[in-house]
Amino acid sequence: MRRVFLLILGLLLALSAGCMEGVPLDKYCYVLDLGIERGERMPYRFVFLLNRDVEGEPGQEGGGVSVVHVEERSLFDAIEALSGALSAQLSFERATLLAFSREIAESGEIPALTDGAWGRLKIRQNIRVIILEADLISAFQGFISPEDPTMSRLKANVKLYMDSFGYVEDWGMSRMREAFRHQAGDALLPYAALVGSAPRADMAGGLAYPYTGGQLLGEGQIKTSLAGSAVFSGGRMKGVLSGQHTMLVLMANGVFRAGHLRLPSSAGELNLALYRVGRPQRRLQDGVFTCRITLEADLERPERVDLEGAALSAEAEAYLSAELARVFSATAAAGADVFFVGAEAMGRFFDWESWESYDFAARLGKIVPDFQVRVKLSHSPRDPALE
Amino acid sequence: MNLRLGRFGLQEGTAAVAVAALISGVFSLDVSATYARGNLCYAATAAGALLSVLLLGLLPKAMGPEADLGESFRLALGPLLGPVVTLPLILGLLLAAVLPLFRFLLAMERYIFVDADYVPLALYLLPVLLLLVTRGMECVARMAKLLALPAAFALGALLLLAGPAFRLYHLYPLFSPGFGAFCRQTGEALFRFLPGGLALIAVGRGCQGKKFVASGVRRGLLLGGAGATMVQLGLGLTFFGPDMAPMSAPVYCMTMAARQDRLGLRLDVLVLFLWVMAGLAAAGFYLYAAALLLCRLTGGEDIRPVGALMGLLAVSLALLFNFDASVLQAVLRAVYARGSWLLLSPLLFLLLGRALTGRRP
Repeated sequence: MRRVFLLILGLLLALSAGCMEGVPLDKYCYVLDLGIERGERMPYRFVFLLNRDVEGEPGQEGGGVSVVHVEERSLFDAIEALSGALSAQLSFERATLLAFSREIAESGEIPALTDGAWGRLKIRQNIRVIILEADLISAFQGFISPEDPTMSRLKANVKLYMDSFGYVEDWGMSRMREAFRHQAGDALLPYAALVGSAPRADMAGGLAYPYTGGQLLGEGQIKTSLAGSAVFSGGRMKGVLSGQHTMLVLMANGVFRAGHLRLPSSAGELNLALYRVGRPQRRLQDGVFTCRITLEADLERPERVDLEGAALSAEAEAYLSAELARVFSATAAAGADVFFVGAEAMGRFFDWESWESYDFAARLGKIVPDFQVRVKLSHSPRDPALE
Repeated sequence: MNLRLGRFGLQEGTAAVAVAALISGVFSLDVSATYARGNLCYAATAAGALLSVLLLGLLPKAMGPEADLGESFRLALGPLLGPVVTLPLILGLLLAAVLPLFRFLLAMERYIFVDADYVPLALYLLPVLLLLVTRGMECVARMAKLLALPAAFALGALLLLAGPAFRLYHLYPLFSPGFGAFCRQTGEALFRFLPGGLALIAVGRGCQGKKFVASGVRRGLLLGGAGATMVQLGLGLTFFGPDMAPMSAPVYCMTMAARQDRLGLRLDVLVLFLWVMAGLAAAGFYLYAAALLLCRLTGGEDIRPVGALMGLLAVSLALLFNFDASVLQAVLRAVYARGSWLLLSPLLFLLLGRALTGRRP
């Protein structure tokens, strides 16, 4: 019996190898990142970051990786064109980043570009998606540094900026396509740009410091910076929200964990470190979207602030509530439901037919926001405590 | 006599039913019809599992001390009608094995071995299935017990991987597609849970004690049903129903719904193949039970040729259902929708026969 068990287990394990094609692993050319932008002679230019030396190919070399590009009508055509020019077989199994240029995003072509047939290429449904404000060849090269030729730092930064700063939200293709199809909420994709590129106005306005990709006042080895979000309505990009405003949206959506906020107060501009406390309470009733958010805050350099803790909390609460309402109105006016109010509305329906005939998108602009923010200061500015 | 029933205990019997119920509960459903207008499948799955426990709970107790399911039919319905009524049961068990195999082939061709054909993929599954069925029930039961842990790991890993993508609003609009659809889906869910219980009752002689059969059926269905309900609820929290309808294997897509880095990026294929392994054990269980019933029906004394035939038939049918022929697709839809009657009707006849003849089956 033991022999039979071993035989069966052996056969079962053979299944797990996942090998079917007669192509050795080192004969593959792995696409790590894929970018799509407007082409000059064809509708699209597809930019690939490949992790195999492709000497003599178009594009540039960077250690074991190369940026190559091809202009074509579709990704499948691009692969056909590129396959003949590469010495190895293209594989998308390790692709982890999908970037679209702002122009493509604003033209509303992303839904058609990311159709279901991509599954046949084994492009993972949870591949990370970002919007880039640059020509993608320069942007991809900007992301690459000698220490990090595979752009893994950018990918780590998306997670870092989401979890520690709240400047972006990490979106995968699966969720993005869902947001394009349904009216539960709209996509808020990470936004990046070449350092020093032309500034993009925050669609909600009102911030002095540009917490937006490409505008951050800092420069390092990576020449493409990431901050803020591209705001979508359905499958079309409508504008950009800065990192600070993205943070507010994440607070209302219950995604926010921690971040820093510049707070204009009666004592001057202050820096608040904010932390999530529980999940926001959200409700949509009679056309009013109520959202109660509780945050914990630390004040940076409290010894320089001449305010009582309660007064400072009240100022922070008033500022955050007003800013949230302003961001809500600005995005709703553009037809973008980044606060996922549609999901709240959807909960009031009991069948798909009624929900689909309701046409929530047409009603979004009439919804009145009511944000109620509670800020608990960890310690009073008058009584700073070392923890 | 070479029926290769062997001896197995409560744990092995429970594991066989639980793995079978979990695999069928997750993979043996008509994805496009079930989710097209909303998702109540998680509720229907739970209801179907509980209903199956109720329906099958009393059956082993009603059987005589020496009888198994095949003999119960003969005793209750006579030597002529009894075997005839057993045939739909055999067909039901065979189809219960085919449906997960069909789904696995579809998922492997669609997501893993994209350039491969169904036939070589099926040829990978066939030897394991044949070995399991021809080695007998003890081997099947012990293999199920061995694979119960990987199946539980696959379930846990699936929920962990998809966890970040869970959104309550994916279940909205609640109660869509309505009460009628819920009742229909509950009826269909019986075809996912009855076969496991019936298969254990059919091979009950190999179990060490009749009370262990009843207990194994109950425990196995509850465990497998709970696991399948968790997966269905996880699917409901991950995707909107209509988005799942066109998917070849929503369970595989579920592992890729949330953003993943590092380890999570590579677990999806591993999890799928854990499901495939557990699925082969489940299919082997169904097929052995079907082969045993056929042997009892025909007076066959060696289960190996019958088991091998069942295995070949199951893989062939799974291959056939992957062809895009309208007749085959219509048959497949009918199996999903009406398959439970293949199992319910013999049971009704059994109870009816017992009531009319007054004989204890």
